Amino acid sequence: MIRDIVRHAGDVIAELFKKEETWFLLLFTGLSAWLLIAFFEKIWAAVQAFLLFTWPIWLFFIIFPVFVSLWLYVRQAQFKRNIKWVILELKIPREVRKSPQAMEQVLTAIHSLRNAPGDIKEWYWDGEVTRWYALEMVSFGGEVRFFLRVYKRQKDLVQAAFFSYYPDLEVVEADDYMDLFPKDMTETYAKQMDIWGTEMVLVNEGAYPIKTYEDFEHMEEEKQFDPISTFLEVLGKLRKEETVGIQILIAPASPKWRDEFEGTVNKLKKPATATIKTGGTVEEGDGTNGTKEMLIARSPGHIEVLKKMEENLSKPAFDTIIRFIYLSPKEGFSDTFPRRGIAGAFNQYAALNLNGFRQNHKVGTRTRIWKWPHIFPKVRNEYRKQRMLLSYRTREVPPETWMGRLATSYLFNWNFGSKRFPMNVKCLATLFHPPTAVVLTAPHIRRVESRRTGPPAGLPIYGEEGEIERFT
Amino acid sequence: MQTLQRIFEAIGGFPWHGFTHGVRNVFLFLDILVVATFTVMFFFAVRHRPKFVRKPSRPKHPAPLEAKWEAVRARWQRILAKAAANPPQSYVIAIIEADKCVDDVLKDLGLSGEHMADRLEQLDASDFKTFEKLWRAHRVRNELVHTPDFGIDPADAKEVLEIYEAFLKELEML
Repeated sequence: MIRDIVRHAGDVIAELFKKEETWFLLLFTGLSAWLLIAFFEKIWAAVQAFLLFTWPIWLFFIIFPVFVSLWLYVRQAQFKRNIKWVILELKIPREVRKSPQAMEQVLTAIHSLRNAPGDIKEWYWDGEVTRWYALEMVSFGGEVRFFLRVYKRQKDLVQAAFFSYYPDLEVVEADDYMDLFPKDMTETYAKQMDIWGTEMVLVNEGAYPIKTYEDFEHMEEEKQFDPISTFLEVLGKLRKEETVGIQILIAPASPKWRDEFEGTVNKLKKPATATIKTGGTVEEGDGTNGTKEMLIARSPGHIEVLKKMEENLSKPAFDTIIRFIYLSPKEGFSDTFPRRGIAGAFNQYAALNLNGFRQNHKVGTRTRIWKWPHIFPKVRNEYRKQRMLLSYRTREVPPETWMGRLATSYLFNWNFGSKRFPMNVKCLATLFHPPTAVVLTAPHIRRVESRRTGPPAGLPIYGEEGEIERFT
Repeated sequence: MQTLQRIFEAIGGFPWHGFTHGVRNVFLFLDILVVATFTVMFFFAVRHRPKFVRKPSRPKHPAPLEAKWEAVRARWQRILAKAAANPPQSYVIAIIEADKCVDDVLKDLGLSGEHMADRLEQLDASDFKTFEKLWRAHRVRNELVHTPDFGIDPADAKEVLEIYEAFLKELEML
């Protein structure tokens, strides 16, 4: 972060010094300042006296925002800690005949459960934050299982959302598999294990969509694909002692999320023009300087991008964090597997003109002496591993406030790297959905072998408790 | 004109000195308040700070096997409890599990191979008093698993379990 600021400031300064106005301005300010100090010491003394008298006011305006930031962090951290969660496991039926569009609807339903601070009390006293959900694909030595973590009180609602679109899917409460994970790096090393983890972020702005499930679908059977199958195949390749978890943390974003990208859309919407020569000259004074701006047709690709972007912005979005972790005994540990294999599986969603995923190198557990900030790569790596493991285990989203980020930082591990980005329900449904019938071949998933059907009509389901006949 | 004069008089007559000092004192008070609350909040913030260490200890060698043997002991107790639960059928399950338990112990000892028989072959018969008996027990277990309708006498089953136990005892695990 600091590097970015410094670099940016450097760019700005370099740009400024290229203009001669700057030099004049500098000269004048320097001169006048010198005049002020040299000849008007009285004025200087007055300024000093003024500052001396009014410093409490200035100080207040400086420390108050910092204080509010810290206050918010602490209240929000307490709020987060007090949320009761429940782990649900998705048990995939033998055959899912639903397109990921069903998952999109489920996510839209989940989005409507959004909470957000509304008034001063909720903002500053309760420290309310939008409760987030965890969608997880975890491979235990090659056996892939799907988990959700939801707010306890919304368990029934989430189950209902799944049930209405995937009647055969079983969403059952499960034990948290995190209990099997080592608690920290000391324990990991004691078990002779090691971890590798990173987060994925969007390459472009959030306004650009990734490739969605529609791009993988086709009327003809030989052109139907399911991007999940790549993940299943990669995750299925694990050896027995290895574990890989892919975690997608989603917090429903405000319906106004699209406003942020208005500028991007408008820029794209601007009509395309070309400068052509009109043949006239400046001397003739036709005011065109011999050239003229003319509207030209947009290229098909341009129109496509604009269309996709506007479609992307038309749906509700989630603030997303994607992270994955690889846990393996030291013997046979190879970070190439997650670094290339899993990151590669994410690559299939990339469209160069739209969006894609890249690793967030600021949090990934790969530090190099060649990479910023160059010093103590080993120590920084240890810190990163600890933070990655902790964040993964607790399914943590980074603090929203600046002071919160600072307060959770360490000298060799600043907590400013983790980034949340908006993704709409469609993109998320592409990333995470029950594998469709297309990937029926994958033997790596735990499946439910039975089908469910509705109960016969006419059962006495509406009535007093006592009227219902029970098998006892 | 008169109104303007009155306004000027009002401004001049205002106790500016007291007002500015009042404002200053209010802000001074606010500053102290903010700093004090900040300090309190700071301690809360520290509590929520993740605990990381600069260098997590990295033991060179695996944890002592003692913990593993502890697990074996607990497992053996469970198997015995299972055997006693519902004889004679429970003996069959107990024998199969006891065999698996011994097999896992052999694996932990670093013996490789596809089946338990492969592992047993790597052992030296003369080193163990119970070795021959263990082979016999293992064969009984194989019969139980592979031969349909293979019945076993409760007394024999008990003896087989005792062989497994004796082997584990000889390894000084029980």
